[in-house]
Parts: sequence; structure tokens; C-alpha cells
Amino acid sequence: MPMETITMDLLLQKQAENFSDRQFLFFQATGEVFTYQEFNDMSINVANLLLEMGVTKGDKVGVLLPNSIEFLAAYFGAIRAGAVVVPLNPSLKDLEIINILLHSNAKVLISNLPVLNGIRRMDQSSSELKHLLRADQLRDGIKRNHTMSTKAPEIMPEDPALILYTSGTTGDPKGVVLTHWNLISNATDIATALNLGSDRIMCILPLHHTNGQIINVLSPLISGGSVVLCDAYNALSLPTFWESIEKYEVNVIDMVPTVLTMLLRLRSKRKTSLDSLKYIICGAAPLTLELQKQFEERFNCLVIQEYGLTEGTCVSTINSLSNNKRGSIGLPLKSNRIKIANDQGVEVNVGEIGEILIRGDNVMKGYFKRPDLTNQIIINGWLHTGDLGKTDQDGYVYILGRKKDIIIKGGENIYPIDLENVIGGHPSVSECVVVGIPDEIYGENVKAYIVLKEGQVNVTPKNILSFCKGKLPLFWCPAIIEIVKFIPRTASGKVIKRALNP
Amino acid sequence: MVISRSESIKMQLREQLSDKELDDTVDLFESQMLDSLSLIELVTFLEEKFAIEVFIEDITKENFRSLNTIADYVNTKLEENISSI
Repeated sequence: MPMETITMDLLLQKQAENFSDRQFLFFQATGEVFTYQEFNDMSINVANLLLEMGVTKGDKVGVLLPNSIEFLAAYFGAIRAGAVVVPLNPSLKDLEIINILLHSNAKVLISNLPVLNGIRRMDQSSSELKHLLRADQLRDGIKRNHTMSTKAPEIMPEDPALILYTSGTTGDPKGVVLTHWNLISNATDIATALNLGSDRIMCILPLHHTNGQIINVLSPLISGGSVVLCDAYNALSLPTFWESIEKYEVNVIDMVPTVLTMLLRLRSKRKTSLDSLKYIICGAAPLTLELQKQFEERFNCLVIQEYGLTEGTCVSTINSLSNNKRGSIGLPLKSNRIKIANDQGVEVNVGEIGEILIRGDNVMKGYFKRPDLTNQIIINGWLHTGDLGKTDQDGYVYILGRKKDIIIKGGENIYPIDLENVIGGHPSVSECVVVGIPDEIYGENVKAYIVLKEGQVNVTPKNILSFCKGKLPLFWCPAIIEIVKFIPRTASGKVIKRALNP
Repeated sequence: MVISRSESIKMQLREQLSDKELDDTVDLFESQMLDSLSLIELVTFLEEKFAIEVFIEDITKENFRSLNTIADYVNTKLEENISSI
């Protein structure tokens, strides 16, 4: 079967036939192990359950779960049923979750009980949500052997499989629509570039994030490898990190620069065997040469840098074991073309700085219900990343900064507008501007400048922070809040962020 | 007023965790006060503030569950430091 005609349901079926009894999934928290066949059966069970509930092709299924067997069962099961999965970040607050459920027209939400109780309070009149499915309801049938229901629709490679919300959770949701072929093509290219084969990858990143789904699960599924799934929200996951590598004989780990920094800070009384570990993939935020060098020297382990964005499914450029040019984000993937362009979209010369543009099978279908935004970012087939970069004579790409307004804290994208909307809602705040500031651990952190309303002299940064903590994920809350007399603006009213003193 | 070393440690921990009202016995994991990154930040804080060495093997639920258990742990480490002089 030509790869271009394959869909996620066929892929799961084909890999179950190819690798049947080979172990595919290890869940660290419970010690459970699933073979390729069992993983395929699990997805069929959940797909059948959803089809019986009346889910039809194109329906949106929200998945609000931490890293777990249930997350993957829900994810692959819903996709097999022809539905479009909407993964949600478990650290979001109820209001943000509701915003995404409403915007995505989610018909089903799969989650755990405490969250569902909050969702039940949402306004039903504007919601299409018909079914709330508890994670343990998936558990009931996970290991039963089933054949696919006759109700299963025919799925095409260009059909949407996922909507990943990247920003705008507070007011202007931005959902990236990715097709079956986007996912398969990108995961295949990553596996090929890394020569992944039967390697075992340890997933320490959250599964609601594209890196968790594509690099950590789909690429090894395609290559015949296996996954050790860790609970990304378990506070003790880092201290047990090296022990898990030894226990599961892990070959590859995908992480963000912040985790490298954290691991460098930890010391151990005993020497752990890292013989199985071939390399570490690092992405989602800029990796400094110094951090890469320090990590490689201390742990005698290669760090390979990749680059990508959700609008390009996951990865667009990557280094490899044989061609690892430190400081660069690597070469374009097989199905990708990269162009460094000036403001007019014209390609600049080698070594010159311009915006990184991407073209290829991994470029998203568009933003859900937002053709206006899609047309701003995909122009003549080229995805405008908003990142500044250059290439060298060998075609390696280097990232040098950002054009767009975004803060990358520990690999997580934080959009200032989301925070400004929330902080601006404080009854004492007249104006608010949020910027990124350099941070030794997280790469970047959040700083908010606030102008108070007249007469609000008793309001302190701590009051504002408490307000933020009640309405935003803790990780997004500003590290510093400064109360200022005015926000510098241009004549047209645009904030002059460089005039703010970080 | 003289406060004990344990009380002093707990006061500094409250400051670090940005919650001056935090109860001594609240489970920091269950209440999601600590995630994987903030736990390491806390470890770094303890090492710098109290001049102790915290090893991976010591970063357990038992030692880091609450302000009380962390204070006990820091006290033990400080006693070890004194006895090794």
C-alpha cells in the first residue's frame, strides 16, 4: 500500500499485523505492557464504544487526561472511529477548557471525574457536548478483543484527525487542524531521519502536546519501536529519570531544554547505567550551545536538536546521529522544504537572516473556523513560522529569534494576549502588557507590566498574582509583576515593548 | 520571640512556594503545589539556602510531602553536616 494512501486506522491495523506480539507500550506508573496487537485491539474497543454512542465521522472528541493508557486509548480510538481528537492540557482551568470545548464543537469529552464535575456546570445552550465519558469507562473494555464495528466510516488521508489548540484559550481560540496524512507523514519522516527502527523511546513530555504525540508515540509505532510512557505531571518523574532509563533499557528520550537544565542540577549517590541510551532529542525551545555541551560532557550522551511548530504538525528540521551540527536545528525533513525569506517572501542568500518558511506534507490544513488567520500564516503554500533564521552552505538551519509575540517557557508556548486578557479582567487593572524575560532555568519567563485604575493605591503585585493563580495554569503566571504609571505606545496605540525595562 | 529551627525552615519554604498561609501538613503533591520542575527548583533552593547536598535518592514523597517532612529532612541534613565537622 503506498504510504500516501494510508490513514491512522489502517496504520494501526498494519502495524498489528507486522509486529503482532512485539511489545509496544510500557506504562511506568502501573507497570502495564501492551503489544502491538493489544494496542490495536484497545483502539478498536474505544472506537466501537464511541460509534455505539453515536459518534460519526468528523465529530470532535475532547480528551482531557494526563499521560496514561486511557489517553492513548481515547486518542487512537477516537481517530479510528473517524472522529477528530481535541487534546486538552490538564492544567487548564475550567473556563479555558469550556472555551475550547465550545469553539471546537466537541460532542464527547473523555476525562476523569473531578474535571467532569466542573464541566457539567457549563452553559448547555451553546454547547454541542452530548457525552461525558469517564476514563475508567474506557478501562472496562481496554483489553477485550474486538473486531471493528461495521459502523466505522471510510477515512481518507486528507481527513482531519486532530485539532490542537495552541493559544487564545481566554478569548480567541486558535485550533490547528491536522490531517491523518499530516501526522503519518511527519512521524515517518522523523523516524527515518533518526533511523529509529526498533528503538525504545521514553516519553516524559505531556501527550496533549504535539511532541508527545508525534515523536514519542507515532514515530516509534511506525518504525516498529516501543514507548515507555511516563506521567509528565508526576512531580517525582525527574528524580526517577535515570533509574527508568536503566530499568527499561531506553534508547531515546525527547525533552525540552529546561529538563536538561534540571537534570544537570540533580546529583546522585550511585552511578546509573546509561549504556542503552543512544541520544536525546531536544526541541520546543531554543537550546544554547553551552547547555548542550555541559549535558553531553556530564552524561556522555549525544543531544540532537530539532525544530518545529504545531502548525507544521511537529518537526520540520532535525539533526541526526551521523550529521549532528551543534548550534543548528538541523536539516529539513524529507517531505519538507525550508526557505529563509525577506518581508516580501523572497528567498535570501545563504547566511542572510530572514523568516523561516516551511512547505510540505506536514503543513496544517488550517486554523479551525478561522480562514482569516490561516490565510495570514499560509501564503502561496508556505507556512510563515514567525521565527527568524539562516542557513549555512550545507543547508543546515539556524534559529536566531522570533518575529511573533510569544513566550516559550520551558518548551511551553505562552501567548501574552491570553495573560493580558485575564489580568486585564482584574477590577483594579486599567492596562496590562505581558513580555518574555530571560530565565536561567526556563529559557524565558513571564513578566507583566500593569497600570492600575485611578485610586487603586492599595493593590500590590501579590494581589494580582493571587488573581492570576485562580484563573490561569500556575505555569503561565507571571514570575514578575511590575506596577507602572503608563505603558509606552506608538502614535497608533501599539505597545513599544522594547521601551519596557525587563 | 525565639522561633525554632524547624519553624524558621517552614517560614522560608512558605516564602519560596509563594503561600504564606500554607499549612504544615498540606500534601504538596496532592494539592499540586509541586510539579516535576518546581520540585527541582525547591531542591536547588534548599541546597543554596541551607548549604546541604540533596541527592536524587533523597527526593522522595516521604521527604517532600509537606512543610513538616521537608523541615524534618533539612534538619537531619543539617545535623549530619554538624556531626561531620
